[in-house]
Amino acid sequence: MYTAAAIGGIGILRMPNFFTRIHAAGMAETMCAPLILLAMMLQTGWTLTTFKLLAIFLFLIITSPAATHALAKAARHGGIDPNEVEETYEPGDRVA
Amino acid sequence: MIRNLALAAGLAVLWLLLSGHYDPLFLGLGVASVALTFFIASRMRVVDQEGAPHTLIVRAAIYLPWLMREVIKSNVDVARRILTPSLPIAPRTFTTRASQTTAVGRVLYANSITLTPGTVTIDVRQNEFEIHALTSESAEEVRAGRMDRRVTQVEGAG
Repeated sequence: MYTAAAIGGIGILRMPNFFTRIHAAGMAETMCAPLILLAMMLQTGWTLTTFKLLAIFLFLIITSPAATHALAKAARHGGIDPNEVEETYEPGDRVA
Repeated sequence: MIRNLALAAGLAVLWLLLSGHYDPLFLGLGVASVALTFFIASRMRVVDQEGAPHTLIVRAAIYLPWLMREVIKSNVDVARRILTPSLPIAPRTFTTRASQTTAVGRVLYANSITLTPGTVTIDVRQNEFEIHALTSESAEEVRAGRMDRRVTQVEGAG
């Protein structure tokens, strides 16, 4: 799960523009978060807590796409062209 | 009527699982809170196909494991692309048609697309979805319409 989060983070840094970064961020929420919940379920065993973690998982997979969609729509409404490559900075560049 | 019963039963089960207390006082409070929630829901007139989709939930529970498998598969693909030094992506936007007829069905399909890494639904106009895809493969995956057919099955007759 840490790997999923780390790759998601690397992805956000490597992707060329806003819309492609959304996909990398999506990795963290669709892979990392469910894996953390799964690990906690294994740790709690077969109790009511397991059900509560499952409920959190369900809420998460309903709300996170809604948030992502709102983000994407807001970005386009704000005039970001999905096909345009933003100016990127290499590590070590001086940003004015 | 069945919808009302299903909502009340659902609320009761949810309360029991979340509380974990089974002595008379707490059960009484539970019944009271279920009754209050039910009363408010009826007064708001949200006990309909959208607010209490009891038949949909069963089919959605069958759909969920398939969706999770797709999510994991595309997660692995996106992870591989992120870690490849040449960053082999070909972002594009395109529109696709959704075959669902109800609002719930379209929401389920649009959310499923967004949930799968590599594709994001940017806009929904009636049954036309505008989608941003990270690669041509993930765009083709949506165009092939496997997920669309599955969601329409889940949607069923309502």
